[in-house]
Amino acid sequence: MPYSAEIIVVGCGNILFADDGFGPEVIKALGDYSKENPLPDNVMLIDAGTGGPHFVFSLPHEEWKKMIVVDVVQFNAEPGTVRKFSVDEIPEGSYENVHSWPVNQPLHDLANVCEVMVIGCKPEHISAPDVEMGLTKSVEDAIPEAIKLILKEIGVS
Amino acid sequence: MSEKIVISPTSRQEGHAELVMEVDDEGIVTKGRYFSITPVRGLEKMVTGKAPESAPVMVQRICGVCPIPHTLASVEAMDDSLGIEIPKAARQLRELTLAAHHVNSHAIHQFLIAPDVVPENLFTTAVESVSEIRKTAQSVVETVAGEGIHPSDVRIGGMADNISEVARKRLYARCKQLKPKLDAHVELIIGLVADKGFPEGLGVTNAPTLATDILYGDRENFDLDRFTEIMPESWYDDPEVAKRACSTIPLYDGRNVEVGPRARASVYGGFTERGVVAQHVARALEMKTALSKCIDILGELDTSAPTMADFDVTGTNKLGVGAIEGPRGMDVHMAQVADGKTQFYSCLVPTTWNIPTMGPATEGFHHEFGPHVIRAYDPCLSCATHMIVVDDEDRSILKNEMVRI
Repeated sequence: MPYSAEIIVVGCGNILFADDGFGPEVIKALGDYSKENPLPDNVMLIDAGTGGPHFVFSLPHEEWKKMIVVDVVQFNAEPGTVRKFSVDEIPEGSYENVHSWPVNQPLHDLANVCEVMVIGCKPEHISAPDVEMGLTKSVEDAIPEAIKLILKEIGVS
Repeated sequence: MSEKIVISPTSRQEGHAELVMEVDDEGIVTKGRYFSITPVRGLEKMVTGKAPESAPVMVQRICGVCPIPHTLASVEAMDDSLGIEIPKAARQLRELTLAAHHVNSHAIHQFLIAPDVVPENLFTTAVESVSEIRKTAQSVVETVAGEGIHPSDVRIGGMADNISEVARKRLYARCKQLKPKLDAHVELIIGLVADKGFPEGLGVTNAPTLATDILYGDRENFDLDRFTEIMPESWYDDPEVAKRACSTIPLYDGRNVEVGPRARASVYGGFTERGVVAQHVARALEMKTALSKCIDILGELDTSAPTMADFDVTGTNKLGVGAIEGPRGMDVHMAQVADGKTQFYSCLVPTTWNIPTMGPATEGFHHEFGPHVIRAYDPCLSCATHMIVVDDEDRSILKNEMVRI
């Protein structure tokens, strides 16, 4: 079955829209990190891009114990600030994506099945609908901090 | 006395679109216009001037729904431009990836239409079976193409790796196991659509069907010379609609056409039904065809065979065509490579073809059926929008008025 692991780390966002690519970039960096420092077998990294609601959140797996979503989050802080958000802090419907996917608040629904959290970074610049590849410096610099928080959640640091 | 009914955005479909229907005193649609209001994607500009390998990786990020068909259409266009003949096993693995994606994507659509056709007492059953089917299909994509969402092993020249013999056997067993479940699900959906009692003739249009293959796609069956593309101003007789429409109108032999599962079944499968019910039936039946294809390929795949061709990326400036039959219809990418860089790139994505056909398909019936007609085509506009220039003469750009979500 797809995504069979106890801890799922899902990077969400579009790499074509500047800081919106934070989630996938963190997954990539974490993948590189894990080559030297292998992650436990019960962890799976997924670069979900913009397909999170379609390809991951709507296919809950009985093995899932913890879902760590990595994404940009608009909150009151300096760009590049990273912190953990509980699912209750994420407004309901924020993952009801623009394409009218009918799974209302899929993350809230998932929270009934497993522990759900968001490692969020305040973006500096999101270019959509214009294409701009690459993160701004403040958000790029936030990647190590995000990895630190994720490793803590995975239980390896 | 005619009245205008506007649905904006239309719901339970992918991407933003508007349906404008003129109706008579009885509420019957006399004129239907459907158009995209999703912002411009600008994909073609993005990949131009870059190495050919950039295109498939970038186009798969256009949309979170169809990363797989876009990746395949892109590598096929590049293969064609670079004159690459991919090994048999690579072709089988690509076909397997797309067939599994068809199963997954059609199941998602059934989820979207469930509130329309599934009665409350069967809702849980239908949604659970959709979920189970999707999990198996997604496993196939994940194993065969490297990643379930962005198929990283689909490469220009073939596939990065063959699958292991163990994986082949495992997937084969899993797909075989899914078959009775999927057959029952297809029967359930077809039965529920019939029970819904849509009026006879709903959604029937006189647009010709266009498809290149029964399931995978074949560039030999897409004739570029028969294709033209016009601006919305030349298509929509309502200037307000024409101004707001965010995509060009593709025509084949000068006419708007229908693409998708029903079109494929009609061109290659002898399927003669037309309209809303026929769309749902053809889509459901295609899930069976696609799963059978998965089982066949997994049964005969030689896992020790090579999957990458030797090739040179310099290119000869040939216009390459990649035609992939995506779940919602024919996805054509065109690429031209010279001096090791992409010189030209263009995409004719599935729903773009159906946009001019869906509006007229609502005509002749009560406007309340409008959304049902649209959903029957399973439109996905996330990547359809690629018009920027509003005036070819002065190259002015629709920027200030561009619709933003």
